[in-house]
Amino acid sequence: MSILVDENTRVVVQGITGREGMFHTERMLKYGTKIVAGLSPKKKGANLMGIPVFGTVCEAVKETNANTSCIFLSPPHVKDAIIESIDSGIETIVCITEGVPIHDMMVVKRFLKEKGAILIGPNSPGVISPGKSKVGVMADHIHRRGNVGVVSRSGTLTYEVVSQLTELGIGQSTCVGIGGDPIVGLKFVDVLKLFDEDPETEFIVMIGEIGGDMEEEAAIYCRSSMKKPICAYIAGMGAPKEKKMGHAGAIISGEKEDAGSKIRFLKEKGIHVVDSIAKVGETVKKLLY
Amino acid sequence: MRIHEYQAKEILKKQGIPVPEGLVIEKEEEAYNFLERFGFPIVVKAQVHCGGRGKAGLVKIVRSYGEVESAIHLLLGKISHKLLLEECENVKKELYLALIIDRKVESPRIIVGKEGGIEVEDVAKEKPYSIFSQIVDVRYGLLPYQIRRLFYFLDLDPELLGDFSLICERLYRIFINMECTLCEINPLAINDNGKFSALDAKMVFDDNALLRHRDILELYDPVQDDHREIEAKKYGLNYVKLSGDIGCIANGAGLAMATMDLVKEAGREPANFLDVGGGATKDMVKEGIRIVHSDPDVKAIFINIFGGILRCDTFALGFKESVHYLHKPIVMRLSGTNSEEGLSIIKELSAPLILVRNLKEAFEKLRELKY
Repeated sequence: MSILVDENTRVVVQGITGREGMFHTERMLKYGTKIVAGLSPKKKGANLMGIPVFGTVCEAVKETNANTSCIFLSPPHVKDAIIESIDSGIETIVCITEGVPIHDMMVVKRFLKEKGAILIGPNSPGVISPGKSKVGVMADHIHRRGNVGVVSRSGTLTYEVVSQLTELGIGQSTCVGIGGDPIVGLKFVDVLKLFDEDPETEFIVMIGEIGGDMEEEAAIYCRSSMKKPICAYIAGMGAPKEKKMGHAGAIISGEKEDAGSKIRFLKEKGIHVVDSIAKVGETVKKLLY
Repeated sequence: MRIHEYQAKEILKKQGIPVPEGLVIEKEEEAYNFLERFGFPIVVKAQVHCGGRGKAGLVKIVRSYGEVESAIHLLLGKISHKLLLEECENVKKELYLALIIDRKVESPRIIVGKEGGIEVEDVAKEKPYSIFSQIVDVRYGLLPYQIRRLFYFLDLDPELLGDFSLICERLYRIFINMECTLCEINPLAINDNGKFSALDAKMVFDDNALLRHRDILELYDPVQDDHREIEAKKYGLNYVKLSGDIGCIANGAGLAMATMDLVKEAGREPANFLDVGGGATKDMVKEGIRIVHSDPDVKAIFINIFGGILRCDTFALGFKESVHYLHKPIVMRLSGTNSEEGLSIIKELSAPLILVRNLKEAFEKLRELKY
């Protein structure tokens, strides 16, 4: 087992003929991901790297039984693409696109809540269950199959943590990048619940950052019902107020949103918070064995 | 993106929300025409993006030509390139009205307060009973019953319901059509003639939506940002100036934040946040290095790259093209995709470089750094 993606994942790539879409489709195929369909309205009927290209998600699902979509479209097209996927019966949608307008996401989230599909992102590096499937753009060679679940709002910061783990011989069950935007699909708490139910995951690392209160929400869940051990790291200790730190979501607009008060809150709820990014790997090792 | 008060008021006025009569001036002479029309007193307001202008002395009520002159001399130029002159209204009551995006419920929230001119966050903490709000479902929009709930909470003369409803509906229309993340009228005044008036207004637009709102983009005032931040934006780099002296360069926002944090842990202060992007090109790397190195506050630089989509050899090539002018000490960590290739390029160069293999080593070197 693992969560969200595995050997049964059948992917349709929305925006397969774009530069990013093509590049990463090739890399996902190389990793062993089952990419069964591509989407490109203007190139409907074409065949790319052995993958049939369709004009609508509905058609792709009917012809190929795709159950997961991976979105590489430019920001203005994302709202339509996500809703199309939901409406076509796709179960899991991974949105890589960065820069999706927040008003579009408010509409998308209302739709998601009604239909019960799973959205990861936008502005996500994707999801990888090492050795099984990768839906996204992450550097896959640093991952090893194992028992630690990793969930994060950031791409390269996740690489840092994963490479520390792998170097210490600690593999990962699934690594989920939930995305760096203020409004995203799955939140930390949703992913923690999935990890909690996953027999392959024994330990969880949560990598949070300033802005919003997703980390706090997760901490409340951990205290009340989480069965498995967890540790966390929160980035942005040195961030000033009202300045966006790269991610649209990483901005301290309320008093509770800075790293210091987040860390205090997590600690109060009994979560082990690693105080330095350099020590995440060794801390997991200590807590795991 | 933020805009100035006078720009926000122009938008309100266009949509039919009442604002005080006013004039924007760039030169002192332009003021006198307005004074002839309105007499005294008038309000002189600096047009800068910061909260608490009143307390900072950037808003002056003037009662004579002498006072106007000294207010203009004080505010126009160095502090503010434009001033807003406004008639002084006879205010009976001040309220608060705003639309925000509530991240937690992932929807717009409309907020009213019984007092105006407030910092809504402080009031939410100290006097939560004086504010009230409604969550809006974006599919149906702001509904009349929600406006009535807000109105009755404010305990106003029932005669005002019609005008209040129009203001709420129009503000919501601005918020949705222009894709704002904040629309605030603070204070919303009721004058002694029983009419509403938006005495101050603040609007923030979603940067990600600006491509489909060219008209809003034209309202951007670059004077309000650090010139390095503007340059960085041009090249697609995320840069924020900070107060310390260690320049930081990393790829990816999360890693860039963690890099700053590591500098702090080592007892140093970051001079900036710089994310060259998860998928940076050679030219973006070059620009990033140039922007950080050219900051006179920067005494040393910490480069922390974890290659993913950005390959380390791409980074190294960008670095190589910058090396001829580098004279500040640099601590560099280069890991991930194609790190071997990247490091072999870097090792050929003669630069004031300290190469480290991981963040633990980087931490030690940052502590030892002398400059």
